[in-house]
Amino acid sequence: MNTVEFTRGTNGKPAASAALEDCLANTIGLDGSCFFGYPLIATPEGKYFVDATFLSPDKGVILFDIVEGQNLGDYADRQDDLVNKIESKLKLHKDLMKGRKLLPQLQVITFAPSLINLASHAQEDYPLANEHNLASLIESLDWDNADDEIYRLTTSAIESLSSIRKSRSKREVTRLDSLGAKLKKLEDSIATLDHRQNRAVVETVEGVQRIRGLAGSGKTIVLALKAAYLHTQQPDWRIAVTFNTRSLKGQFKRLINNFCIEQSGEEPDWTKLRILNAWGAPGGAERDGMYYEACRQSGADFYDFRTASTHFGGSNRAFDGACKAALSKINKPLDVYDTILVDEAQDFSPSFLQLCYAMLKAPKRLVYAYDELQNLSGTSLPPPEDLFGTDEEGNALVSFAGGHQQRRDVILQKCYRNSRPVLVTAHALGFGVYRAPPKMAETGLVQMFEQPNLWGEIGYRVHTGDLRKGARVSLERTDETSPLFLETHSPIDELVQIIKFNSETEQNDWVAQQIEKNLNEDELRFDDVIVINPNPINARERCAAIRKTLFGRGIQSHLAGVDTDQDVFFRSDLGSVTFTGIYRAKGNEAGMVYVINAQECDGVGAGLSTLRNRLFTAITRSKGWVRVVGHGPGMDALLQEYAQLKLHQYRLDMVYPTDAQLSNLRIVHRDLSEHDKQRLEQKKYNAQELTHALETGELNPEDLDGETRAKLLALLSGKK
Amino acid sequence: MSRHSPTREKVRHDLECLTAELIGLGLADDQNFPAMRQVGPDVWDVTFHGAEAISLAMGDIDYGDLYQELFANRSFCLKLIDGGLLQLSYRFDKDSLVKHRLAYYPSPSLRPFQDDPEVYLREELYVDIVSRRLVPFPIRFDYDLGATKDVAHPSCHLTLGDVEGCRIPVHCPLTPRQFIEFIVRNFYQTDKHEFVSRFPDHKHFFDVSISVNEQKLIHLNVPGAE
Repeated sequence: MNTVEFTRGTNGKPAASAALEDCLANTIGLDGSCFFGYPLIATPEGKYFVDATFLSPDKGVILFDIVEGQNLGDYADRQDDLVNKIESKLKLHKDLMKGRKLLPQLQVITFAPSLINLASHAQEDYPLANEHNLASLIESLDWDNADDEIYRLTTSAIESLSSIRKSRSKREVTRLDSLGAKLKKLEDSIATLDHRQNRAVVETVEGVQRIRGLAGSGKTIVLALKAAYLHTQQPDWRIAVTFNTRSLKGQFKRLINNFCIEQSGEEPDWTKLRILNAWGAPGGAERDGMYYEACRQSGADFYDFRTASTHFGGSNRAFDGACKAALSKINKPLDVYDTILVDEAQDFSPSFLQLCYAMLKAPKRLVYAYDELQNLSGTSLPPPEDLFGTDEEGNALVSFAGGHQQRRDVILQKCYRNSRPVLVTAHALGFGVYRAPPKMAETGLVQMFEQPNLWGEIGYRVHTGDLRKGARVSLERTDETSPLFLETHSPIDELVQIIKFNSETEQNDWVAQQIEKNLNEDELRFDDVIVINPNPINARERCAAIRKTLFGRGIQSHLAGVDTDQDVFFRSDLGSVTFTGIYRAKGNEAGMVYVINAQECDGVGAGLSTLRNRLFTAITRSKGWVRVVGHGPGMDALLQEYAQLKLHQYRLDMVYPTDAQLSNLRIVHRDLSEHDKQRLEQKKYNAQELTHALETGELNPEDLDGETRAKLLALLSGKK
Repeated sequence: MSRHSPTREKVRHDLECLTAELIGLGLADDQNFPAMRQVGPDVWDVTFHGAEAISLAMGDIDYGDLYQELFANRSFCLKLIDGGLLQLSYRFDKDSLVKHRLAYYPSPSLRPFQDDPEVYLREELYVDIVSRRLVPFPIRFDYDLGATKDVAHPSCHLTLGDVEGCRIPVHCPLTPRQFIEFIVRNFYQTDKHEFVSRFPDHKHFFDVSISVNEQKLIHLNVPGAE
């Protein structure tokens, strides 16, 4: 049985690479991992990448120089160069060295599958292989002092894309146990990518790829590095990275720039690799956007926010309508981009992804990152089969079923941002796992994944019970998917606090006082603190009072607002605390998160899933501590749910809804437009009036005709 | 100087109270703390923290670039809800006002707040998607005793759109309270959104500075001054 795991990056030699993969996969007794087009390193002569790197616990590191075609060139020279370069890179890792000797063994093989007569080309001490002799050649290689620990360290060194998550600026701490010191330790520990993330960066499929993952699983980093990797490997490609929240722009730019410089020694060419808003407007490259570009290319009318709102309705419908209008004008693909990467895809309507699809050249490499639970607008993306339509014969243009499904539909299951208690709290409240069932409802759940096995894929395992519809199950996170070091720095009661105050003023005073303490005593920096008001309608107003108090105490703060050309979210250089609504909080993170006025995230009936999703998104911004605060009755429900979660030792214990219950949940907690909301309110009011009239005797039950009365009785008692 | 004339400390305090008030009203997204600093033996500036690092002379550059420069360097006392920037700076010799420069720079790429207040007040990701050509222009109240020439260069004047020859005579120098009310009342209030009534009371006024000849021209009257 062999278990070679392949990560297929690009190296410009697809046919020979496929032959190599075939050979390695079919060599009996071989295990390890193999990377194509990786690693990528910066050298004095410019960027440099290895055609293929094979790592094995028995053989050490085998570097492949791949030759496509008959022309071998000076392969001995290439082999020397290859080993020297990689050796120098590995030698930077102190734990791989003993004295001046590199511990892992480095081998190099030139693989030329089209070359028949190897003997006439081969030079002594420079191994040359094709499909026939590769297995025996590898067989003959030995790593004398093979060592599992060294193998593990070597793999991690090869996979490490260093200095990716280094904090924005140096952190000064004087007390070892301050929150600032703890945060520093956390930031130092999560400097490299894990295997799955790395694989998601390097592998791009010839078509549509979806990357799903929890909040904090690194979707944004993976997308950014993927864009940088593709740009480095294919400098002529036109690549676009796009997103919904403009505060992400700065983050993308920084990540991509760092990666390109680190790995290739060159700055990215921003005319080829573009970081664009989804919408965009006239006024130069900084303001450009995907939709605006699509309009320019197709001649479709451009709608700005105001005109789109007038035509199609406000908020989400505005952009959806604009995209649909543009799509209707596009008859054939626009062929503008070679690859488009979309972050936060759950917040877009299908029309925007379709527009991106239409802007792509064949083979339409579209990558979209997606997190169902962070959907704030209540419109969920359909599966790819429905999303991208069908060809003339009715076959879906895009499907993740079959063949290379794993590469097309990547799930990142490890969460590196939130500790286990924070993440499970977010899930428990987001799904309403411990929510008391409302009268006459069978479950208190607000929403639930259609597919129970998705829980496994996002890193939960069954503690007790059965993970299937209609059965009771208790789910927990594993040490593997929620690394322990994220939580061991503080007691759980410090990681998560849910607090109810008597009034908004009391809440605000407490938050202001805590922020002051965070800055003065806890050694947190201004950009370690973020205050989120989950309701986008009144965020500005609700944040104002706390900001005013802070100003009075000499503490600078800013509201993440409409920043035209600057995409600044955190102001680490200035010393200013960030206040934000939920939309602009997306994609950002901080050590200490205050979720204020959380009482507004509880409710009943329509729109509840959106309210809970906001709470989920807000809580999952925390890479350290989170304080969910509020006032009024809504907080009681959250407090009670959290108490249950604690009682269940941070496991999600529930009866999984049946299909019928699932579809009922979707209806009960569906999202409504303003108009529908008003109509619903009107109807509720009518019902109240009816009740009142019956109570006061203004109307007698007998006044209603028999049929209506019977129907009412039946419906109100839950019979349909 | 009359006994009502504000001292530099009063002006700084006035600016601080108003900044706090605009934050509390939700009109200010970002701000710098008001500061007083000594720039000569008896000369004091009242302006914002960080102002010293910024050259105010931008010369002949495009308004969009100018705005961007101020924005990026955070060269403002207050940044308002629609990106409008307020700069206030006063210079005192001992305790008497010799100069002020009170400027309002609206955003060149965003719609004015009054066009669509609801959209600005709620969190709306796409407010900045604007295609209409805007005609924003800066507004400035300057007071400069040193440069004063009767009629040709009134000691206190209003300049619209940075037009060099535009010096509309003004009755007297403006306090922070007066200037900020002028901007908010004219560019931020709507029928449904009223802010000025929550402003703190006027605490002081400057003395009248307009000349007899200038009063014969169209000029701005300022209530309250003696």
